[in-house]
Amino acid sequence: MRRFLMILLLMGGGQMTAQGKPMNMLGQVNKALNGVTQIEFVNSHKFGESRHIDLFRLKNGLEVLLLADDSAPVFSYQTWFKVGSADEVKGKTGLAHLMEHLMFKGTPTYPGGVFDRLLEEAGAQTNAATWIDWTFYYENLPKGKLDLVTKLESDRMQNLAPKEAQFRKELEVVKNERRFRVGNDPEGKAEEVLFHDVFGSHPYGHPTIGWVKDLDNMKLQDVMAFYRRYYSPSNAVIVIVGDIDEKNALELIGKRYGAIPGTRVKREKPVEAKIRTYKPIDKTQTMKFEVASQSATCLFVGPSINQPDAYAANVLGEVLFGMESSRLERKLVEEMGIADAVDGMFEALRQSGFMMIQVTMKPGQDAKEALKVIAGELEEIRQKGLKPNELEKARNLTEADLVKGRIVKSSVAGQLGFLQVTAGDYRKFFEQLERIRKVDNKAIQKVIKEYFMPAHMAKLIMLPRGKK
Amino acid sequence: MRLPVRIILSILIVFSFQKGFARMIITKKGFHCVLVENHDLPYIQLQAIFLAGSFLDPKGREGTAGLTARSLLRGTNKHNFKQLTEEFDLLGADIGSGAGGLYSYVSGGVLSRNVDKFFSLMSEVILDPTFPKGPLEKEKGLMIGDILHRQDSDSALVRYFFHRFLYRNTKIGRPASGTLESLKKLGTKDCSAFHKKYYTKKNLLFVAAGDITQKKLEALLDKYMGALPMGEETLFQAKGLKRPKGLHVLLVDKPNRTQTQVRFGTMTPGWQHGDVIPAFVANTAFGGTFTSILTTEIRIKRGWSYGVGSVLDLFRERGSVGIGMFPKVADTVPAIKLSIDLLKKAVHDGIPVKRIESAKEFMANRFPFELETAFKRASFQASVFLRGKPADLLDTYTERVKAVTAKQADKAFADFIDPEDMVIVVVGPAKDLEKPLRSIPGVVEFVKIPYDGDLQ
Repeated sequence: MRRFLMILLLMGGGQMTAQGKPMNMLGQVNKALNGVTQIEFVNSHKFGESRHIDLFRLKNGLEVLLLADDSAPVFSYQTWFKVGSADEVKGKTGLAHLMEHLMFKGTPTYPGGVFDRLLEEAGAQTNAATWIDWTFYYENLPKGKLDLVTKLESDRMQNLAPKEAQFRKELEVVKNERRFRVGNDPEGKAEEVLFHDVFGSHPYGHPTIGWVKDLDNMKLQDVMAFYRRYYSPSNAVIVIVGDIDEKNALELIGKRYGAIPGTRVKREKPVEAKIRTYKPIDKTQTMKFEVASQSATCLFVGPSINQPDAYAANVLGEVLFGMESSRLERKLVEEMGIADAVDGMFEALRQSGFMMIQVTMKPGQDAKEALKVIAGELEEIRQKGLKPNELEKARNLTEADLVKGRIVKSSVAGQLGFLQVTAGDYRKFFEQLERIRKVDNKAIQKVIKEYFMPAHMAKLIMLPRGKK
Repeated sequence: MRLPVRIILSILIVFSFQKGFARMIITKKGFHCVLVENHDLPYIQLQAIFLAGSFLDPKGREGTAGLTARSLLRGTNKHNFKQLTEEFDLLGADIGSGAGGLYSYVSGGVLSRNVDKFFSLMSEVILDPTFPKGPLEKEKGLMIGDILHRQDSDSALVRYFFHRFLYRNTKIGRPASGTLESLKKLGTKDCSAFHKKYYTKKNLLFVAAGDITQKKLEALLDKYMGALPMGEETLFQAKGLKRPKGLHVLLVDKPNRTQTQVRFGTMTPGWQHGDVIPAFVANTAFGGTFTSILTTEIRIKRGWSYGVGSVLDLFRERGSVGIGMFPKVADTVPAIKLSIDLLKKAVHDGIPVKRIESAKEFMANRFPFELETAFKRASFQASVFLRGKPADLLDTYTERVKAVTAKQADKAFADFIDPEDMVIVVVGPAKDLEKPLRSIPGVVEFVKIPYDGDLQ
């Protein structure tokens, strides 16, 4: 069973004033930068008892989030770009993700392979990810390697120069990744089909990895145009969490990134996906695969990240599939004994959210039964609400998840970057627990009526190939 | 649990690392624990590891260790399954149990304000399970489901069959998951007997990390788990594990694939071999990073596989090296042949010094991440005891890596790996793969099974 939280958080005090420590330090930094750029302090928030997160902005629009934490001699350096597969146009799907792959192919200063080698020798864990609303690159490094990483990251933000041969090879790698994640994976295939079904022509309706036909037609020029349009400092957020000196970090960032021109990036305004009405369960579409038993996958449009309903949807997800004693686990696996596993997730995104539930049936069992149970549970909650102990369990589990999310520095950096890019404000990190605690039955029933009615459920049943 | 002499000596050592430290404790009632305190966050992670893995399964009753571990939560004398899951969820806690080849475990995490109640429940499932018939059958059904659903995932199939094929006819090669036939035979008596014999104090290593003091941990262990019987230690002995001779191919036939899952490798010495660190350095240079020989040739130069790498997995006396990738069907055999040629070159001619030096830098500099959190530090120290790693490894790892010479790394790699003697497992369509796989030079055995079948 996997539990997903749309975002994580925790407690903390109030905001620091602009007259606090960052302002004093910032004056010295700007003096040292000697006109390369001007860094402004945006805001700050207390993090636990003794630490604080500071947000700064360079003249070219680059945002920088810093959290100094010396509890272990490591730090996480993340570069988040406000671009994802939702920003792609028809015929060019998969571009954001392919762009991410090509970012490792070198510049005139650091040709292909040198970037990785220098970071590996420094002990870095490095990788990247692309999703619907964002793309991010990370380096987790031992302390003292900030100079190196700022040099490399600022260079590839402005000087990327992949060669045609590299592009062709990497395109093959991406197609291979697609075979791995979608073509040969029943869950991946089901997700792709349902996302397209639910979101249709909305920017969330095509797969982040791209349609095969679009990948086949992709050209290096497409990627470079995308790079020039979106990979601007004005469209990026750098997050550093860990054993760093804040003043030194700001000086290095100002020096390395300050002179990069910040072109204006126009991103489409969020458009909430329309909620469709679907055929009844007995007319659900099916697909065949090499699997041992039937499985049912269903997908709903949900509230977006900045809608208050997202918190109620999160609690609903916990109660339905998120905990050991969840309703669907108990009913389908334990009481009826017709399923082997229940998985689910709710994720709130920039334009819309989604809730997906997957049920793996026992061999010989009909997946339509699982869909009926899901619809029945939603209807029951809509009418009667949750039991008091269900709300309490969801709150406690959420609180524990939020605390756990603060243990690893790269995880904290990831949450801050995600919120700044997707929700527009990293400080939502600190609101989560209170918001979750306030969710009551009225909010749960409202979110079901608006989003999670059985008629809003897109459904797919996977059948074992060659078996009834 | 009886620990080797050098490990007992290390109990007195306090390992310092920033604000946290890994401590080995023996409580008044004889519990061996690894503790790393960190009070920054109100959260505690706990793990009870028993030397009670599937290697102890009676022949023909494979899955006994797994069913026993998984059924601990299925009911005690005080609570049934429903009540237990309800209680743990109300605490906002995680709890899980299971078994692998060498160990069984119960592990979880909880907000520190709820640790007393959590510890009481966790101890109850460890000490007082009843393995009631109905719920046990339910758990068996889920284990059978796991076996069947393994067919759904090509990567799960290749992992499973690589282990099974490499360790054929040995205790460690038995499926920890059990088989469809063996699980049918298991019942309450099997689990009760296994539990009584192996869930003992001498077999237990308790790991605690986070917002808990030594005094508190000792008090909780002595109070709630004091009744655990002493028992006998059951450390795995690797006698009879022999590296295969020649190349042995297992083709798991799965039609309608556009891509294969490949894993090949062999048995290696374990942590008790003197040159483990040089072997790790060589393996890192060969296939452990994004710039390694393997990644450069397979992914970067040819675009054959999104993922490719070489992993050393060592326990005390023995271990394995496994090289994995997932090329499209047509690229599969060329990718295997090329990888074997690269391996032969590395073993026979050595790895370029520059690559060895680069791998050393990578390993030494990334070590702080092994210790970033309290639980990682505790797990590292636990693995020292469980896998027979050098007792001072936490303190000396970086020096040991830096001291490796290219010559030592090459020698160790040749000691650990023989490219002529390996098993190769491929999940993919037999109609496209059988002939070319048989044509790989050095193949002495070819086995083909359907993806919903198993090895005998």
